[in-house]
Amino acid sequence: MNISRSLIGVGIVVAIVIIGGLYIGGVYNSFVRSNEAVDAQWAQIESQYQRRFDLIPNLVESVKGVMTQEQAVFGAIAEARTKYAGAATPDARAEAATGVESALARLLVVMENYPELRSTENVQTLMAELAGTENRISVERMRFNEMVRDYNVSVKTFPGSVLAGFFGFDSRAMFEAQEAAATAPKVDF
Amino acid sequence: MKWRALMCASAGVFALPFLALAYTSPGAPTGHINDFANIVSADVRSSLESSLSALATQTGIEVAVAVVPSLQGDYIENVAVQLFEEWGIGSAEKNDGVLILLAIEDRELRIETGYGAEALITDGEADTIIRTVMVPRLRDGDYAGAISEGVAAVSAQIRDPSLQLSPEPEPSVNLDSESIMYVIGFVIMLMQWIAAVLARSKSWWAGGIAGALIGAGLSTFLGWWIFGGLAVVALLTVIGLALDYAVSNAYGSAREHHTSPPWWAGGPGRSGSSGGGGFGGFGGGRSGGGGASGRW
Repeated sequence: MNISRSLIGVGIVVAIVIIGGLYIGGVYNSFVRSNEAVDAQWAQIESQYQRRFDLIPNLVESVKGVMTQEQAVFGAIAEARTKYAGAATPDARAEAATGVESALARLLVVMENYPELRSTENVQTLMAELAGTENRISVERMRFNEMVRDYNVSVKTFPGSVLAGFFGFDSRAMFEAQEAAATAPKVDF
Repeated sequence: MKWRALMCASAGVFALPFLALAYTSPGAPTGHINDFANIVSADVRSSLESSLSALATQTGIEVAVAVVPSLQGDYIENVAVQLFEEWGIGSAEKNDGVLILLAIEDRELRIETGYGAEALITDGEADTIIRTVMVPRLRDGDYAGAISEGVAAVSAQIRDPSLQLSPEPEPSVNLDSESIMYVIGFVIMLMQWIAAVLARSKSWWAGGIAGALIGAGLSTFLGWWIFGGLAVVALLTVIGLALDYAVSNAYGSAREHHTSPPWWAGGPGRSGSSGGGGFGGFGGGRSGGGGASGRW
């Protein structure tokens, strides 16, 4: 009876060690997973940036003929696109994307002065695609921020914070919307 | 017993989905057509319902219509993406659902496409359907006509084979907190079952063998190099032996005293059941903000 009692004791200690190891491993894996999920979500944003980037020349091409007085706007868009194409790091791309966004917003505002553009089917379709892309960008940004928030909560709250410090997981920055970028430009044709 | 009920209850709380801020749900879907503003007659509703059910069985693509009285100050784009996610329109693997949302007081509407439906209905096509099919009828106050014709146009786009080029679904392994809870629940059930078998068996050593087998399986499947496969096998053998001894003793003494054994030694358990009925819900698809909006 005594031997079996101590056997049970040993079993319980061993079980605690195993459960502890599994717990730490599980927490570590959950950090890795949510960190990777944040990166994947950032890639989603960038793919929508790319989509916008690809749509802009088509739009510019189809409105340039009518909007002959607006060379400054087209110049700003071309410059912002060049900057975005040349950006190498994610941070630089994020900054350049903001430039593209504000140049595009200016074009959309100026386009309001050309009601004849509204009747062009091609322009209408491009504007719909562009509006859809802007909305996709804001949706993916929102999800990015939600994921960063979940990740930050997991690495900042106890007891995860202890393990996060030990394994070197830092909190990550959210995407901060610019004033102009807070909402997708309204395309109301 | 109480402890287990508590575990189940807390698992239920953790499995609750996150509720997004600044968005109030109009309610659960009751079918493909969800008219929260009471503007669609029963006839129109049932005919649209059967045509969308047919579309879903034939093409596998779910189209949902939601008519809400008001957006409550929110953007229609935001309401559409949140509602889409809440209802989970389209299959979870392909995300190929479509949502047609109308807000009566705001006089706004939106066709929202899931990730996998973006190739079937492009933003330009959604915009064309809104501008040429739906908005003119809405301006005349013909809500039923606008919805019927809009649904018909969306269905036609979905059925047109020339548009079904290659909607590539993104493969994703979704191990969220909810499924982890299911796994934990399953493991607990499995362990209870093992304990029940071990308790009833006459042997006190079968647990050791079961432990060794589980350890061998674990180290093979998980490639668990941290502790080393052999150590795992040894440890689980010891735990199995101890567990078998403990539960066999407890079960035996319970039998002697004609009481029911404790839950961890194969005693009776309660099984819960969840009710349901009617519309089975959508497939769990998501949207990434594709589609087009309009106003009338």
